[in-house]
Amino acid sequence: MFLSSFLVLLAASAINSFLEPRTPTGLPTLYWVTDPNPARTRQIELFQKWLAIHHPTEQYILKVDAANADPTKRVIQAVSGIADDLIDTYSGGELRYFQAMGATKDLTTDAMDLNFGPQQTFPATEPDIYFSDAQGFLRQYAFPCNVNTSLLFVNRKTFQNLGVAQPPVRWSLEQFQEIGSRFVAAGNPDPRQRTVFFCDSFALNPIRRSLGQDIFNETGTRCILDRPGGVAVLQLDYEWTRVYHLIPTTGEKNSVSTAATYGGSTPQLFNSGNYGMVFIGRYLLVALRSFDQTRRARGEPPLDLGVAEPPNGGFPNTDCGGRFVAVYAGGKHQRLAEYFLQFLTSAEYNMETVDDPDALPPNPIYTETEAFVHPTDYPNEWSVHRAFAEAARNLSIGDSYSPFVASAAVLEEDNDAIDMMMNDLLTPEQAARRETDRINSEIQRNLDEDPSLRAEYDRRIDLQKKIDARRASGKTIPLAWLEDPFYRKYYQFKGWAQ
Amino acid sequence: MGAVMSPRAGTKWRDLPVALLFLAPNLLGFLAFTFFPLFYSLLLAFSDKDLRSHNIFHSNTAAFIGLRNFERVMRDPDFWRFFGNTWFLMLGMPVGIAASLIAALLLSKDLKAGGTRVWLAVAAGALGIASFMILAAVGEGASGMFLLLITVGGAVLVLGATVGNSVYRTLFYIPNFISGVATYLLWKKLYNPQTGPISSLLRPPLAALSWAVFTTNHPFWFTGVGQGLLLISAASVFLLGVRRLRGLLANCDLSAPAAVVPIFFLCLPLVFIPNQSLCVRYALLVLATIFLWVMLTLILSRTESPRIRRWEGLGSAVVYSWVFLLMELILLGLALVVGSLPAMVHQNGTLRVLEPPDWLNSTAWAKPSLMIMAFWGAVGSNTMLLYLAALTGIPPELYEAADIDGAGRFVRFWHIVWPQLAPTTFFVVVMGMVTGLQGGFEMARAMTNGGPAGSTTSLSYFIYNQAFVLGRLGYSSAVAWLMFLMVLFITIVNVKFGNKYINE
Repeated sequence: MFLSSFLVLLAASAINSFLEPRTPTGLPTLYWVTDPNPARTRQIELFQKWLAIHHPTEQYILKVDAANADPTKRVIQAVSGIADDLIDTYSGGELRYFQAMGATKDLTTDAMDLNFGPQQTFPATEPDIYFSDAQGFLRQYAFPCNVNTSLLFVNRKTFQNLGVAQPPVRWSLEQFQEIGSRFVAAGNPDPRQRTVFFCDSFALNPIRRSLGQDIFNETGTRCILDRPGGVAVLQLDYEWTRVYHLIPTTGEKNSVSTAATYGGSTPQLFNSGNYGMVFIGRYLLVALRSFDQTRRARGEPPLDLGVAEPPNGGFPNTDCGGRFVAVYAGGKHQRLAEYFLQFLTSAEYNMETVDDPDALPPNPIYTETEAFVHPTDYPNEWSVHRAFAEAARNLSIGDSYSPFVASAAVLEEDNDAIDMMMNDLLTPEQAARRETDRINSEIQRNLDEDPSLRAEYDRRIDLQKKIDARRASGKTIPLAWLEDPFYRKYYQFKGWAQ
Repeated sequence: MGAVMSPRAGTKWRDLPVALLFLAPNLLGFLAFTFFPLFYSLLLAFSDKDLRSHNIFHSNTAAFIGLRNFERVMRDPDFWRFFGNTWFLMLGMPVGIAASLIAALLLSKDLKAGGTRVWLAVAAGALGIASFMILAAVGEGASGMFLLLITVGGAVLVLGATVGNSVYRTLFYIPNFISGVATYLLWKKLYNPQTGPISSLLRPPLAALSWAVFTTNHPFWFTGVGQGLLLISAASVFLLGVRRLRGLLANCDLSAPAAVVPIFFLCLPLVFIPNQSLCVRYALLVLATIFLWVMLTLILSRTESPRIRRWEGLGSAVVYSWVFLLMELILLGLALVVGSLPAMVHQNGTLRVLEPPDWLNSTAWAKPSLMIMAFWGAVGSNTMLLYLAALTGIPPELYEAADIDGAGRFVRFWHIVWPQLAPTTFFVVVMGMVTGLQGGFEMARAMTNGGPAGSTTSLSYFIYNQAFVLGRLGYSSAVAWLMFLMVLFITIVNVKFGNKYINE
């Protein structure tokens, strides 16, 4: 009985294996774990054609794996040796996590060889793809598939309907508050039921940095959010959300939370006039174009779009991020995978991104093309595209990271502090102090648990002392001492750098 | 002369290898996917394993660090906070079990009706629907929603009255067919503070209450009376509890040492005394427990029989004390709210209408929101099915005997139904505590991401974060094993004392 059952099962397994689809040509198959965006199919088609032209002897099949895009899955697969050959990451923090695991290949040498180094993309993305390894040397670990910088999209019609002046491109915090107060007063006759907001979200990082404040000190050895700038930005967040109602609370935002469109409910609310502005990347246009199609069908003009920078407290800036692809260090075909990164610098790929308004193309020269700046079918977007490209080149600054604390932990503490403040459990000062203490505790804990970090930490502490001493005596700081992108730009802006 | 093996015994031994071969796939699977990971996680708990530094890409291996992970867990304030969250989320379990029991009791009755009652119900339902449509047409959608929900309830009653119990049983059990994540997303919509039906339902009565409190000429007298009545009720519940314990002690159904635990629970509301430091509150709790214990065991009860067991009656006494504690807390909470009403509705001399809470985005309401959702799921859950099955197993002779003795409905329930359901209740409580301590992950992940500000982070979500977001496999394994020890301890306590309760 057992033997017969066993033989039946064996035969079934053999038949199943025989019937499994095989690569028709016998070429190696590489997998790219990324989001389930329909554009990926087109990008892969372009890549296969490009590969046939540029590397005719090194052919392979590239397939998208959207089923394993969940961050936890990617981590577990990476440490288990079964991750995909190409791994998308969505922030420098996530990439650093993979690099710390050793799961991403050091691309520095091959990037020079195949010409997909940091000079091929926006300088603001450098901290996300190019950072210190365990020995303190700067190495490259990824290349951007696209670059995202956020600005304020302005629905000009909403402002006109409410009789409020259009916002300036560059404005101060006070101007933002003043115009915003008039806007919400005009848009919400019944203050008990607020449905119109000035902006969808608070541009926390840009506003914080505009006050000369960052999460960490110059060397990333300590969190400094409890300084006056850090407290001030939390105070501002509270007032603009809870007092002046310029920005919806989480509850108000979730009131119309849907995921029906790409980008969630934000595009719909911007389109309908519930938000006067949204702080978001260029990819908002993906949804807005579909709304414009409906408008055209009804014989209406397209959405009248404007762009503004986030308000600033003295130092204009905005954020920079993107989707970065890394090569899995445990993959069998690493060199082949690197050709995909080379493809990301090509005209074929970049012009595809130009046509599809999903963030900026990774290579900045393609943002100067006519197709990018003046898409023929969307004249209402012409001012938008140029503004984003210029912001990515001149205004945006990459995120700040500390090698001694995971960015996920920092983000959680930041969110918790804001939640507690918005729930009136803590004042802005208490919230700032709480998150600072907890992040610094986390840094110390990581140093205790991983003694290999200690040498680098001590080196940076010494450097920090030198920086503090020079600052205290009014001397300038050599730019080579500053690795953090914010401080590099801010010190140059203030004239504090050599 | 040796024993001769019978042919039957010989066959058994011959069949053993075949049996093992058939079991092998399952056994191998168990070893590979259950036993080995369990054993490995136990090893990890005593190591400094970190995903970032101990994996296939690094040559260094995790080191044995003894109990350091466990020490760190004990000193970690986050662990205690999330441990508290987990226990808080389990507070609704007795209510859920009670609701399942009530649902089972109702569903075990034949509620089919006929004739005039049905037509009256249909007429009421039609009137409700018409009223909603009129209100919606004139722009009073919120009030209309309120009426609509009442009408839906009425329509369900009508359907049940005409078709019978099967309608109710199906409706009650439908939530179980919906997957966990879908349920959570559904409730996220229900909890929408602006447009969700729950908030829409609460807005009219809250507005009416605000208006009533605001316009009364003597608001503090008005609310003072209400608050006073509630406090008196809470005190009465407390005294009832004391009286019940005294009865148990007097009848030797509860031993003196065992009495400490239920007395402690009865006095627990003292911890919530406002305007006092934590030390003072806990000191009062301890003093009150000791005082009451001395009074009940030494002064007011008769001398304990030497044959009574040390922990006699602990199980049932704890159940009683929890019920009384819950009622005390509800009444005290209501008293607090009623007392604060005038301040809440007066804002610089103008009316401030009370609004429904922000549910999932409020640190104060996020946990109760999840508990309400869990309660909804519990009413028609497998617990209800278990109780339904158990109810059908109660011998009808017991009911007949009770009828002959002239017992009323409550007496019949308390002395026949409740004791007969004791094994089912015991099973449900044990399983509820085991799953409750390990639960909360799906809810946190799908609805709140553990927020706001960690208020809905349970121990299981904390373990996930530590392991896979921060990479601390050793530390998270230590937390997981501590959780296992907690569950084991509670299960042993339940089995030890619960069994006695069942047998009693």
